[in-house]
Parts: sequence; structure tokens; C-alpha cells
Amino acid sequence: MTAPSIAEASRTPGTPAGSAGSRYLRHPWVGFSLRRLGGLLLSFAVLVIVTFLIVPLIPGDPAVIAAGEGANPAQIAAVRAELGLDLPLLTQFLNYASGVLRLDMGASFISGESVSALIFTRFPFTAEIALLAIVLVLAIAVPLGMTVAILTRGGRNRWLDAGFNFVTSLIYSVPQYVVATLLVVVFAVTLRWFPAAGAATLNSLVLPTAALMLGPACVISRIVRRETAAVLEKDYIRTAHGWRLSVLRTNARYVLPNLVTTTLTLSGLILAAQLGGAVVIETVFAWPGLGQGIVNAILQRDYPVIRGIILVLGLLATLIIILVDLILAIIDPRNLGGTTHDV
Amino acid sequence: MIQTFPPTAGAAVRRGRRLAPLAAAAVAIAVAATGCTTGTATTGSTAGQASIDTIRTVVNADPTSFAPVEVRNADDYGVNRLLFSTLVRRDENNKIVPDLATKWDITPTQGTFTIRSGATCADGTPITAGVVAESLKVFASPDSKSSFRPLVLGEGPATVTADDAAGTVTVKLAQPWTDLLQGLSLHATGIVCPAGLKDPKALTAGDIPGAFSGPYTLTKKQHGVAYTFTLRDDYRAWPEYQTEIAGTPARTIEASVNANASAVSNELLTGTKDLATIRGKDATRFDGNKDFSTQVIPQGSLYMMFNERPGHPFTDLALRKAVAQALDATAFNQAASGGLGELYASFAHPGVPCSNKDTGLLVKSDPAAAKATLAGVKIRMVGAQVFGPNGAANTYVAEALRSAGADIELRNVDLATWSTDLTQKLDTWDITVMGGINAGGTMYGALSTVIGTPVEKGGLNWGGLENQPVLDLVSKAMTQTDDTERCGTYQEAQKLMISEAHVIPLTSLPSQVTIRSGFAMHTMNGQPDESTMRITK
Repeated sequence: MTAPSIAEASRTPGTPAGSAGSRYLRHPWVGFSLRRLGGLLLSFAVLVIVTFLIVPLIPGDPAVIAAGEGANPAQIAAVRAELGLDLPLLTQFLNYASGVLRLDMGASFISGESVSALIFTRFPFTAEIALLAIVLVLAIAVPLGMTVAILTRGGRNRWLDAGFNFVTSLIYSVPQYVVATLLVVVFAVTLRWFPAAGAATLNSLVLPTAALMLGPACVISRIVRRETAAVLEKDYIRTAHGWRLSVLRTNARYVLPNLVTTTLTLSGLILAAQLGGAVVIETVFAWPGLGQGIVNAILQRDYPVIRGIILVLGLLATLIIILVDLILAIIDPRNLGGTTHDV
Repeated sequence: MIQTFPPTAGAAVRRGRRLAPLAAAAVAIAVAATGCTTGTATTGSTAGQASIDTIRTVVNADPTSFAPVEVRNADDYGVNRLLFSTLVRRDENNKIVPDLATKWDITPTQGTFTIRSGATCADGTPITAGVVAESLKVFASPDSKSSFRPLVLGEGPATVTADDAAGTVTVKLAQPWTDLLQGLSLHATGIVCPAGLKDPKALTAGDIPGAFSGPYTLTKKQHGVAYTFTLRDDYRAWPEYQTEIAGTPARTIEASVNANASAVSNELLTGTKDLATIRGKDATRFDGNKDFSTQVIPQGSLYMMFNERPGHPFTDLALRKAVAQALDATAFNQAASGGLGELYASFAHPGVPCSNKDTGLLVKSDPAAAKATLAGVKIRMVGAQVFGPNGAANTYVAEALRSAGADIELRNVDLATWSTDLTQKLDTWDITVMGGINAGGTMYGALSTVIGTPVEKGGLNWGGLENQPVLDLVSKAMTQTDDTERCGTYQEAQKLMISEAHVIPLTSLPSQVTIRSGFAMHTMNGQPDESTMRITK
């Protein structure tokens, strides 16, 4: 006689065998995972198709650029054939899609290097400033927003309220490239505290990260302030005050956790946007990340690199949003059944 | 009890506790990431001063290839100068001086070069006549990937042979081509050592240190970030310039990738770069700065070019002349480069041998006369945005022609679209501002985009008019070994091109070599030569 399997052992007596599977399927985490996986696959398929289709819409023949100055038509035609640009569009798409599935995004039209290797070289630079920026945004914006909300509660310190609104609105309304340029002029060219461009040294991180984080920090601090103000009016906060808990303990244990959902959701969206939106910052600071890479690739009509970078950034944005959903579901299982933040 | 608080608060507390490790992980990842890319060796408050054996410079873009026959743009040329030696080099005033060849015997159809003894490849392989010949055979092959081949050897076949006993290499041409000697000074003819010829793909990628015949080897490459070149300890085969290059070659050259002229200027001004070529208005930021020496060089020449194919308006001489009359070169120069450029009397820059200096050949500016001819003429202009800020040079031309009464439609597009339209969409344009780079620095190189076989028939001529009288003059010049005679012939050719307004010379396409005090780089005949970078402090 063989020992019962775990599934059999765990089965409720009298329950038909098939219903265990049904129970698993009805489990909130299964539905949650299937929805996210489906969204991820759909996003991937759309990204593959869209990246393939939109890139050739950019005017200009990549073979002319790749062949270089002074190339004659025969040399340009040879380059076109070498790059596979003379193949039917459907064949090109099948080659591209099958390559992506094999994690082979082809080779750069210009340098001949593997696109995966190029992305692998550039990605850490973008990730570095994007991650640092989001960590700093959270570290600054959450305490700042909470502090302002607490200090201005009940109409107190109206000057602080007005000042906070004015400063955060002003900074956020200034375009990112203007902020970046001002930082360079003041802290690099005039004061010479930090390098103006490049990624040669550790302190090269300071200005690009600052330029990337200032706007989002203003937005999140304003949202945190508003959310905090709302939480402070809740009965349980009044109760906490009634228990004579310290201000720090009340805010840390009962206000801050209630801000998590909003803050985390926004931070995920901002991080996703930072990855793709670092184009301006990376150009101003000559930061060798994906943003600068895609600008160069577009100028050179380097189709495989453009497609590879867009695909990677798109997938990363999707994964970040899924990760945020996952974290929210872990800390509050009620999010498992929700349809918010669906991919 | 706290637990009596609403569930949201309790859940929130648990969230906070669960988030702590996540937050810690995020911080750890961010901090760890900082160590992944940026270096840790800060050199001063703003990464300040370089060590005395390093030159920090910039390339605008990643080199497209480390194989000389595949060089395509200015950054490729510069990098190849560091890595590969050529048979001869150009000095000031276009004098040809020895590099790997110590002497040469040139006729219109043949060149014999005596190879210097003692020169070696980076892997120690002696550079013999046979090694040189094998490399040149790749360049001279009918399947050569080099767009410079016709400039160096002409269109016909060429044979390269070696005599190792005599230490000579002979290049024989199928047609007279007196540009051979000058052509063999070009970066595209750089001598690739046997290790590189064995594996062309790895050579292209710069992965074979033994391929290099020049003073430096490529020791580190990070695509999109930086390239490091290291001086060979055993390198002695420096070109024999008329005047010895002062200073010490840098042990290390670090070239970061940066196409943003403003950012490059910032790096120079804040001390994180020592030397760079600046284009556009940022060049003026160094005016009067005693910490830097500057030299404006012609990156190329700007001139008006017409589509002279049948059915296009500018097959008409009167209309071409009217365009020349409508334009003012000084105003164009202001639009194109903020006045930094130099007014030209030829489509070839003044450093090109036999370039016309006689401004009397130019059609004189006369806007009033232009109006009489251009009124109501429909003109389609395509311009590249790189000429002036956002294509200001094109805008100036369009407005000047509009003032003269022409019905002009301007498309200001990026470089890729512009070059595609001019070479493939031949019925979409009538006129353009041409930026002639002419990296070969020869008169034929300057003429090749405006005479000869049109692009639609497989040639290099973008304008479409073959212009047989000028072609005949070029053929004649290629048989003339006497410089004065040859220049006389080329002067006739330029007279035909300029006075009949097939081209309208305007200005240089300027860039500025900007060098921190304590460093140097020489420009040979108006062109920067990266292998002459030196530390002088």
C-alpha cells in the first residue's frame, strides 16, 4: 500500500478529487498571477509588433547612413542586403520576432555589435540614476509632505502652506531640461563642485540624479501632504491622540502606513517613467544610458538598437508596475482581487 | 488597545513592517548600482586634473569600425590615426612626409615605396614589405569596402606587389592617377598587421591588439561610454614631420563618447577634459580664455548644389546665376556658424591642393538682378539641420530666394533624411546647401559629388550632371606630375564649375580644436591629426 500524496492527504473527506484543482484556481493569488501574466504577455506581443512597425516610419535610409560618407550606390545596396533591409517586410518581422524570443535582438547597423550587449552596457547607467532618484524622492518627499501636513493641520501656519505650494509648483512646472541646465551652470560651471557631464567618477551621479528627482519629489510631496491631511482627520488618529501617544509614534505607526498604497503606486509609475524619460537628462549630462543610446540610434537610423531599447524599456515599465501590484498585494491582500493597476 | 483601531490602520501597520525590508533592498540596489557604472577614482573636486601621462578627450560617436578600410566618419578617422600607420603622411602645406615608407618613386600610373626597417606591429611582428602589401591588397581589392578607394587609386583595377629582399612595395594602376601619393596618406589606407587580416570581423570590432601598426593599442572599449588607448612601449616609427612635434605622447588617451557640444564645452571648462573639437556656437565660449588655445579648422566646405537632371529648373544657367546673385556669403556665414567660418572661393577648402583662391570667378551678389530672373520660379529645397542652429543656413538661403520672388518650399530635415533624399528621391528636390567633407583632401574628392557618373547610375555625383568638359580636365590633371601644370588644369575645371554656377561656393564648415594649456594637438594642412596629441606641461 502506497502512502497518500500530499494533495490526497490534504483533501477534505468527502470532497471529489477534481475540486481541489478548482479550489486552487479560485485562489485569489492564482487569479492575480494569471491576470498579470496575461497582461505581461499581451504587452510583450504589442511591444514586439509596435517596435517593428514604427521604426521604419522614421524617414531616411539606414543603409545610406551605415554605408558612410562617399559610398556609391553599389556599396549602399551591398550594405542594405547585408543588413537584411532588402527582404520582404514579413520576413524581416519573422526574423526580428524569432530573434527576440531567442533573446537575440540582432546587431547594430552601425557598429555591428550585439544589441543585447549594447543594452547591457547602457542599462546600468540608466538604472543607476533612476533608482537613486526614486529612493531620494521617497526619502525626501514623504517626510516633507507629512511634516507640512502636520504643521498646517487645522489651518495653522498658512505661510508654510502657501510657501510649500508655491515652491513645489514652481519647481515642478520648470521643464526638466531647464532644471538640468541650471544645475550645470550653477554647480558645475560656476561653483565647480560636480562634473558637468559624463560618468567617469562617483560624484558624476549627483547632478543628473538631482535633475531627475526634483520634479517627482515635488509631486509626491504634494500628494503625501494631501493624503496625510486626510488621514489626520480620521477617527482612529483622534483616538491615538486620545491615548496620548507621542506625535512621532502616531505618525510613524498610524499615518505613514496609510500613505503606502498611494505613494508606492505613484513611485512605481514614476520609476517606469524615469527609465524611459531619462532621454533629456542623459543628453544634457552626456550620461551614457539608454536614453542617450536611443537618441543616437534614431539619428543614425540604427533600427535594431532603437527597437531593442524601446522593447527593453517597455518591458521594464510593465514589470515595474507588476512588481508594485505584487508588493501592494502582499501588504494588503484586498488588492489581489482588484482591477486597479492592471497591466 | 491600539488593535481596536479600524482594520485599515492595522493593515497599514503590517504594510509598514513588511515594507521595511523592501525599502532596505531598494536602497541597497541603488547604492550597489552606483558602483556598477561610475568609477571610484575621483581626481579632485570636479574630477579635476588628469595624471600627467593621460590625455582626456572626446569622440562624438562610437567608432563604427576599427578596420581602416571601413572608416566612415570623422571619429573613425581620428581613432584609426592612433591605431594604424600609413605609408606616408601629410604635413603642413600639404607636403608628403615619411611614415612607414622612407622614400618613394611616383609616376602617374605607379608608385614604389621603400619600407622603413625596424617597424613592428603591436604583437612584435616586423612590418615588412610583404606585410604592407597584404594590407594594401585588401584596400585595393575590387570588393573593397572602402569608399576612399576611388579617391586613392582611381576607378580602375590596381595591383600591389612586394619585394621583401629590396624592402619595397609597388602599386600599379590601370589609369593615370596622380592623387596616389596623397591618397596613401589617408587613414583608410592604414596598414593592418597579419593578425588583423586573419580575422576581419574581430578587426572591425577592435578586438585584435596584434592588428595595430600605429603608436597606440585599444586597451578598453565601452560602447557609448568611453574608449581607452595605450601607447606602445616599443613604438619608434613616428612620422618624420618637417618640424618635430613638441611634447610627450600621452601614455594613455581616454576618449569618452559625447555628441553634445555644450556638454563637451562644459567638461573642458570645468577641467574634466583636456582637448576636444567643438562645433557650433559653443566654440565662442572659449574666446579670450587664457587657459585654452583654439584653432578654427574647416571641417568641410559649404556650397550651393543644384539638381541638374532634365526637368529640374536649375538646368537653366540663368536661374543658377540668379541664385548666386540672390545670396550674400557673409550673411550666410553668420547664419551657418555665427560668423566663425571663412568665406571660400571654391567648393574645395583652401587646404586642398590647387583650390581656387580667385574670388573673381564667383558670381557677384546682386539681389536686384536676381529678382528679375527668379520671380515666380517654383523651387523645392531640402536642407540638413546640421548646417547652422536647426538648419539656419538653409533658412537663410530660402528666405533670400523668397525675397528675390521665388516660390520656395524648404524641408529642413536631419542628416539621415537629407542624404537619403538627395541620393534616392531625386525628383523631390531642386537645390540644397551641400556640406562637402572631402576627407581625402583632393580636388577630385571635392568634385566627385558634382561631376561624373550620377548616383542613379552607380556613381557618386549627387547633382546629376556628368559635365564632360570638367571630367576631361580631371583626366588630364591625373596625368600631370608637375604641380603647377596640374593646378592650372584644375583651375580651368573650377572656373567652369563656378562661373557657370554649377556650384556656388560659400563658406567653410568650421569647427574649433580647443586645447587646455599643457596639452597640444597639431592640425596638418588644416585637418586635426590625433596621433600628434601631446602633453607639453
